Amino acid sequence: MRIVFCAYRDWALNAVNKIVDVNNAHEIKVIESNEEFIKSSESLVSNYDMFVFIGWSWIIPSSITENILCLGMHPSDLPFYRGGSPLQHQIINGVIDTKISLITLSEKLDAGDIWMKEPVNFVGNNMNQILSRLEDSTVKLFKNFLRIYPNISPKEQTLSQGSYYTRRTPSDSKLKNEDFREKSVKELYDFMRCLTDPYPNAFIEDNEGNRLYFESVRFERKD
Amino acid sequence: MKIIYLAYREWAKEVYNSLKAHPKVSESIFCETEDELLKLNVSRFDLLITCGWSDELPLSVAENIMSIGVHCAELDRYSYGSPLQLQIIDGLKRTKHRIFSFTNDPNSSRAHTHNRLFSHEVDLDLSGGMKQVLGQMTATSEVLFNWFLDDYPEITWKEWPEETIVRTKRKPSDSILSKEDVVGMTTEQLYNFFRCLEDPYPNGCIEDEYGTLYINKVSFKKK
Repeated sequence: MRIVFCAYRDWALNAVNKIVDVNNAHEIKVIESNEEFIKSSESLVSNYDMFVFIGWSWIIPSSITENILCLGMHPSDLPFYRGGSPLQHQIINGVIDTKISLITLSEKLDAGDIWMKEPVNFVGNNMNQILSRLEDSTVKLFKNFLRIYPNISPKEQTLSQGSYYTRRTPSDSKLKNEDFREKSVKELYDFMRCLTDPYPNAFIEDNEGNRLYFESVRFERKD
Repeated sequence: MKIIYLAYREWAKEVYNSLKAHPKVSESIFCETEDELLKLNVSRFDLLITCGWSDELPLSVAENIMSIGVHCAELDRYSYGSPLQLQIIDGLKRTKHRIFSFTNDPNSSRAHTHNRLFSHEVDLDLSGGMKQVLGQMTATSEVLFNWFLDDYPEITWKEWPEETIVRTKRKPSDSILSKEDVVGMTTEQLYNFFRCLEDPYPNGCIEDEYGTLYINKVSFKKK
């Protein structure tokens, strides 16, 4: 099979490299930037069987999705947590054990048919640890998928049962005084850890606009 | 000249290589514990250099060899325990790093600096996290001790004025803030609190009835 993998984030590229390593039988091309995608994608459509997008941030034009199978990995148990910033929304809401989903990319964001899921957990004091778990689950997902494809059929999502969240902005990383009054320290921990590098760190801001950023945290539960 | 170097903290141990290479030093020995020190015939040596040493020197040592130490404060201020933490929490941005005459006086209630004599001093910047501050402590200790060795034995001792304020050494429980404490402090006060308690010190934390949120690393940006 001939596959074009599109990934630019470190964890996603690591996953692609591991997938490539264990899938020598396939002809694989890796695209590492949107510029490269725009430049070369149309010419690759006729020579490849599918495009796979991992942690990709840009909308795929219909000229591509209508002419070749386009798959994407979304880090949630779809149809839950469709939309933007799925890792942060899940961690802030206290999700620990969940799944990542392999879907067909369609016009509607994260609403395409589901091919396969793989367990993942969001334990860890920082996003590097969590992205490493995501990388491992992504590799397992594609190892399983490539083993059984094309003897597999995708299933339609029941969108009415799911949830949709908008993409977070850097200003959403601000903690207010009422957050410290109303949230437990475990909730504050989840907020801070899901916004460690490479994401915009959690911060508090005073009336003068000075900001204290929380770069690294850990939590111990009381018995 | 023959020197003994006494240090157990990582930043202080790094200074030794520079001192044993000093042109005037013909023989040097490194001690990490009081037990190691007590096994030596100290009167065979010319100078005991302590660096970051927290305890009093045994009387049998202090009476038989010239001993010096370094203290990171404009003595007599912050002359007892936790000088870095107490100065940073009090908002000091710059201080002094001084060589003091390390004696033992059983009748003195002071800590370490019983005769209030210092010989050499340099500026010490208290900016940044503890890794940065301790890196400066290593560098300024090298400067101070090498300078002392250059001048030895023509050392001019100066007496600093005495203050009656005693700032007690911090305990791990002093690193705990309640959520109300956080709300009541400015961003800069919080920054100073958390940064001065970065590793290797007991990290600053926020505690409630459910658990403890440790703040390992912070940064601060003024508008």
